[in-house]
Amino acid sequence: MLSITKNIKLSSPNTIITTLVLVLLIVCATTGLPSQLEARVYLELDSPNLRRIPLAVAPLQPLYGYRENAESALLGRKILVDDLEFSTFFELLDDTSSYLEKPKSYNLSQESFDFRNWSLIGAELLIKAGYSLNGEKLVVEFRLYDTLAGKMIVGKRYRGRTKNIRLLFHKFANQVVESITGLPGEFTSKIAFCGRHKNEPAQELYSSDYDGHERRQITRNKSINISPAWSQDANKLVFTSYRRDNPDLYLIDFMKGKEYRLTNRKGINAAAAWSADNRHLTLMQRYENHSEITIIKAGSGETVQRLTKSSANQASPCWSPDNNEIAFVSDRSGTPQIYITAAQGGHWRRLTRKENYNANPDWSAHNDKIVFTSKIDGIFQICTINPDGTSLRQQTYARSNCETPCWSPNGRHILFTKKINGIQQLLVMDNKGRNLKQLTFDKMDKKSPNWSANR
Amino acid sequence: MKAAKVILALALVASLMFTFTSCTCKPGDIEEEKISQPTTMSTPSAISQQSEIVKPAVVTASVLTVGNRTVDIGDKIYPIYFDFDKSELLNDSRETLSKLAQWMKNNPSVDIRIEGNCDERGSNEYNLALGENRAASAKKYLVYLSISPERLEPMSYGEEKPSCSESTESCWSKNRRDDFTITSK
Repeated sequence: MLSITKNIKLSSPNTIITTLVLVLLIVCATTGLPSQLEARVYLELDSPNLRRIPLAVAPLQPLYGYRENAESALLGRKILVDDLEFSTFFELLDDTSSYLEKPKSYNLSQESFDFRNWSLIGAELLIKAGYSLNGEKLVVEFRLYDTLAGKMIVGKRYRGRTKNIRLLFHKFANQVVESITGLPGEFTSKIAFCGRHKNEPAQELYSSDYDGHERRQITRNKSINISPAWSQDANKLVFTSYRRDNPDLYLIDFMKGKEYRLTNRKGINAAAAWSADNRHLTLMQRYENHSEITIIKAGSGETVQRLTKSSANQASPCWSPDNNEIAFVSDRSGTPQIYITAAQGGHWRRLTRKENYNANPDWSAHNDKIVFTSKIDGIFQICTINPDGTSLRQQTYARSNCETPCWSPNGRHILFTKKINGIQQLLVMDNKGRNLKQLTFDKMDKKSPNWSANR
Repeated sequence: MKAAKVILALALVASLMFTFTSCTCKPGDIEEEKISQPTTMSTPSAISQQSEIVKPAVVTASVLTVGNRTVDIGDKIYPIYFDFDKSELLNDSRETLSKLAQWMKNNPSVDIRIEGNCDERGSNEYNLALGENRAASAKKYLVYLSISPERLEPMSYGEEKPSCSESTESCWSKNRRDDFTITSK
């Protein structure tokens, strides 16, 4: 029986300790063994003609002594297949295994099957998984095999509950991407975004898995809440709320289950972004009746520095991955353009020169590119550019506005909003502008998505 | 020899303790274990207690605005409107603000919040800055008309508080505005 509950429950300290001890025992028992296979990178990520590796996922088998649960087995396999397909690294082969092997052989080890059965159908990689289901307790054992070399690349066993079946399979999908590419997967990351129902004054914050599943409402203050931003460890979220009649900056600490107001300087305190070390935030604040870029301490909200001094408007700051620079929007030239300044202030340079409305920069930690939105022939499109101004590339050619882009945690995807049938929806595509996927379909307008690291 | 082994084991446990303290705290834990090949199909020995991924913060309810209170000053305080991407006052707006200034002089205990708004086009965050400009424009003019700046609180809603939600010019023009709200009387 599968049940995905929506109730929020944190483990009691006792359970955490018990779990800790058990985990320790298990790991102590297995750590002494040498790793079966040295890490090997299967894909050259920088290659211009990156090929998808053919991969087969065998149907899930119940582990020895356990009964079959077709519903969980199918769901689990689908989560895994969808993740790996999304990653853009793999070509998922159709499920042809039913005639390749005796069904229900109850064994995942490599002695139990013939790799040639799989390499013959073109699979270079093979995932076998077995599960046991006992009430709500779910155990899944995964193995990733290299069918050409005839050996296991990685094996993992996960224990959880059926309500967390998505997380459990996402975890192994992360492991597969990491084993093959050396990059972390993106599948246990979270998306935060603003949501508003038609003609409602309130705009609340929501979160979901990277694939749009498991949506939760984060705020319930019936006010206007904007610009959510995850901390680098995804344990905290800052956002701006009008609940006390000024756009103040708030912080939610999910570990403590608490919310704090960080700044209540008169005027806007908005569009905050975290530094790479999580110690500082850069944001828009009012100085001399207009918006400037400042840096504050993430712990106390105390101002560290006013970064820009201009009579023009500044907006949407974000840090470079090395923390040394900050990209932001300014209309000091007469139109909104993206600029980069040293994080200590001074030494600014203009980044964008094409088109007369460029906004919402986000700087990827993984490929050192900046994604932003640019008004081209009257429509906002997603573009990318190198921090030195080279390699400007238009990534969307849409007929309605594509806005507020942000990078996935490993830089392989871009998340953004687009109006579809009158509703602002969340969409995701890869960093080449391909493999476009609509994540949300419901009638709520969604804005300003922000993508966390893996949790 | 034996002592060395014990020390080694303790060091191992300590380092693992360190690793797992940080990861066990993560919400939504799935217990993970490395499998080496071959392995026996053991029955599960440890079941980890699951916690949820996101814990919504407890937020007490608060009202969205002070209220859509408009004040009868002969005329009502209508919003003032702006051109696209502009924060300069139009002639009509100056007239409205003059009436507002006169009424504020007659009601010296009243403070006003000036709320700058934008239409949905353009970047939300850049529009927050533009809303600041629009609120500041009205404040500047009211101060010029001898209203004390302490009585005027500018604030920007950017494009977050539309009064009209269609994607048409007639609707956009209604959203490019300053609203005036009484904050104390």
